[in-house]
Amino acid sequence: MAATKISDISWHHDFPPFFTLQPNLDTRRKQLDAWCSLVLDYCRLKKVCTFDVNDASKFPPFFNAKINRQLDNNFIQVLLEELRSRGNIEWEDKHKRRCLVLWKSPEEW
Amino acid sequence: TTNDQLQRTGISGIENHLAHQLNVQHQSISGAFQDLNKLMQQAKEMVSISKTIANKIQEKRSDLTSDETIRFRSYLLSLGIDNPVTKESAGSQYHTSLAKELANLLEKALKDTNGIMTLSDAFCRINRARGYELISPEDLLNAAVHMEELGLPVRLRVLSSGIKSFELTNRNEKKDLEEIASLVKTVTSMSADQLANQLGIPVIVARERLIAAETNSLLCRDDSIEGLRFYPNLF
Repeated sequence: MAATKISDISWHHDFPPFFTLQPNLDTRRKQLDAWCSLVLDYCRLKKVCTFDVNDASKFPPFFNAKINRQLDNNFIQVLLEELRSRGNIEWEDKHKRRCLVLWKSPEEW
Repeated sequence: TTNDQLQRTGISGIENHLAHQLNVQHQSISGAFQDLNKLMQQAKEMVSISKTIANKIQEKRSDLTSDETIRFRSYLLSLGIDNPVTKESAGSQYHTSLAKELANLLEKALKDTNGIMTLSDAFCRINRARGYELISPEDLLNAAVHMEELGLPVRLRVLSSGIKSFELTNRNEKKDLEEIASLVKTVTSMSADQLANQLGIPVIVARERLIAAETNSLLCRDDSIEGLRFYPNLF
């Protein structure tokens, strides 16, 4: 399991525009879809259950050293909000620093 | 008589001569200013008269392109007062005929520059070609506004960033953007100045084209410290 590379679960990860929030709304929708499934797939594979926003820059999917790109804070906020609205994360504290990651919806559990 | 002779010689003679010359110059300068003042007085009267006429016309609004208003507009132009707020309904003959002349001139130039040219580029080209009787930026813009209604082969277009440009009327926007997108595809990614080099168009216009292609979901962007680059939209 440790050998699983991020680029194996998402071809987008090597595509530089993936790391820039797209201004075109159609494109942005597809981009966020891809991001959400990447984050969830990664957490499922690595059995990650909690996510700390303070450590976001160390979260492997959020940077790609090969193409020298990483998500900026604004993008991470947008992405987390998207995940929350889909019911895939739940905040653990009021300040929105830590969250639970739910690979499946609570009903599926 | 001895006094006269004294004044013509020596240092005081030279001083007197200089003072006399200064006096003459001063007179001609003040004469010129007086003439200018008179001229301005006359112009002032013209302005006040034209203002009252403008008010009268405004009362009878939307008598579209009646001959009277057209003539009045050309009066205003010859005075150097343009009054578009009260007279937007008509435009002027001067500008419509200028529009025709420019369309002729620009049509050829546009074919060489990929069908699009910024207003400032056009301004340079036209005035350089003219040499004398130059046109003002405002005349160019006013003429450009009339091009579409006259059915000319060239028209004015305001790009999304507010840059004004001329383009050929028969340009096919969609096909153009698709061509740009396939051009980007051949080199995987492109910045505005690369496209500008390739097509021989100004960087500003190249950037505009890329963003238009992005708005049409043909391209997507990669914004990093390396600069803004555009990729084919693989999403």
